[in-house]
Amino acid sequence: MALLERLYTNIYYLVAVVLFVIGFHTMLTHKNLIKKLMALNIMDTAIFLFFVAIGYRQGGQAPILVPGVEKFVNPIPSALILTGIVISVSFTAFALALVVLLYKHYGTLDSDEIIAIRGKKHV
Amino acid sequence: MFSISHAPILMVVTLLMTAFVVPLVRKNMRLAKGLFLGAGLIVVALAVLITLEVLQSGTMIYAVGEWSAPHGIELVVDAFAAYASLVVSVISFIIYWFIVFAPREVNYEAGYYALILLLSAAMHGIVMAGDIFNLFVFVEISSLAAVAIIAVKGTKESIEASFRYLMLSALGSGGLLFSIALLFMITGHLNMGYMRVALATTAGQYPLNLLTALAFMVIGLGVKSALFPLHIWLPDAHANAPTGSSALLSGLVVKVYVIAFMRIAYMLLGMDLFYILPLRQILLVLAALAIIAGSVFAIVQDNIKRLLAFSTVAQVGYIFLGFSLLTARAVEGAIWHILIHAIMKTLLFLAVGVVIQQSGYKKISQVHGLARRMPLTFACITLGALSMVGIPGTAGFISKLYLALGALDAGLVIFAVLILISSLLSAIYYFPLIITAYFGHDASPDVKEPSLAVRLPLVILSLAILFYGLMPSMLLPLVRQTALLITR
Repeated sequence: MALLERLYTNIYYLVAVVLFVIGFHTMLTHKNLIKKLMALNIMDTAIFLFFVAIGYRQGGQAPILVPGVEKFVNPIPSALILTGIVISVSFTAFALALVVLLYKHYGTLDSDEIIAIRGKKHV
Repeated sequence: MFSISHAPILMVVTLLMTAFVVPLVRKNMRLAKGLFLGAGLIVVALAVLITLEVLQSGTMIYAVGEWSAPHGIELVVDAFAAYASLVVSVISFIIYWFIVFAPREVNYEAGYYALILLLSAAMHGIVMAGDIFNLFVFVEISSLAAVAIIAVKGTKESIEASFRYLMLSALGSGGLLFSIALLFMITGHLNMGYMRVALATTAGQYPLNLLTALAFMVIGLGVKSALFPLHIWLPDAHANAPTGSSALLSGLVVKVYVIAFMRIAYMLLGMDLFYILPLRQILLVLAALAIIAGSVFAIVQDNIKRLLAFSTVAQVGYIFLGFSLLTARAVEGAIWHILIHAIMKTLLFLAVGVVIQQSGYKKISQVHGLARRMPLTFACITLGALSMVGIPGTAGFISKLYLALGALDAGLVIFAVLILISSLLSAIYYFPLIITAYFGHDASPDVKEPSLAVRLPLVILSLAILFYGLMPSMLLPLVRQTALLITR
């Protein structure tokens, strides 16, 4: 019972870790480049969730000083993650641009096939 | 109104602003090139000013926008940051010069300049950041720009290499951000100085957080600095980039991440952690593996640029080795090696790039007798290779000597032996290139030396190798002060 309670109070961290592992696993095991990118985004999202959860307090309000509100959510993680999201978007956009170029050059999105095509030329 | 206290942020701002202006004036390439070189020169001047200031009156702390810590973002320019930004600004200016005057390798030149300026701005930011999230943002800018300056070549191989680099780099960024989250969780600060104070009381309470954070940080920055076995992206990425990019990536970018790691180590974690946790042993083993594996892989390469890239893996191992031995002389050796390897590898990549541009030959087995057609370029390559091996009288000898002495100070004779063995290995992989070029049958007579402006950076870098090999005293006070920050 104590374990369940601990899991419940830390549910956001738990979900973040599960998402991270899903993303990491997908990134390693899937061959399709677009799927790899999606997995990367899931991983990033997991980290963002983890970061934001640090600042969250059950029943907390936005940190604006008004009478009667005593419990605040820490705004710093949310502000930081805004930056993190922008970075992740630019990473994804750039990576997708590279995927387009890769498709033009190799005619496939399968990472194994790309390596095979490239390998043949090397030898 | 100019005050020296604004110099740190001005370095970053100058480069960032120029990066945005250069593509706007692309119709007038002469102006764009002027701006590009001008920005580089201004940053060199600022770096020299900062270094003098730090040597004279100690660490400079710059509060961005006058918001002081713990709420604002700080740039902490200590001896290490001053040294690093001096190395980065001078070496990258030499590379800018080469890129402007060498035959063009990319289609959209102004965009290429902008990316390189962005990368330089981010590198200066990384080495000076006092706020860990700020450091993360700069790391991201430099990762994206570093991938872009490989992809900009536009060949099949470079696109594939840069995509792989981008994915692994993104993985590394994720690790770094995760470790920042875990550290923020137990300290409640983002300013590294304040985090260290908070960590002293909370580290014992939350050992798991700290351990996980460290693991993610070593992996995150390890991927980016190509620490063995996380180096798999490096050979393809560095070998398939345009000449100037290869020099910049191999000479500076990977080392900037090592510097970032060390700055986090001494500003935030405290060097005691290296002994309390097995961090020191792990890094020593990885560094030793990097040195051996990098050298062994380099021996079997025929493609010259791939050979140089594998050599970089080994050299990053040296820097990690020096930092994790943690004796005064080993740390000094590692700090020397940051500069000296930057000089050597930049020289080698630029010179080999010149050879490839002039002759079209990319492999060792093709360069027969080319030294007779390009005597100066091959003299520079020979000097760089001798310095890589660590022949006395060249700069490479100095840093290897310090590292070996440092290993003996630490009582770990095996690492001194390792440095000797790896010097022999580097002789094995560098000398075939030189021997083939000088003693092979005669090359086709239509291969010529490049223009004077392209040869100039090669000559300057060669002179720097000789200069530091014969008189290493010029930067010694700065290196000593930097080492004190870490070993204190």
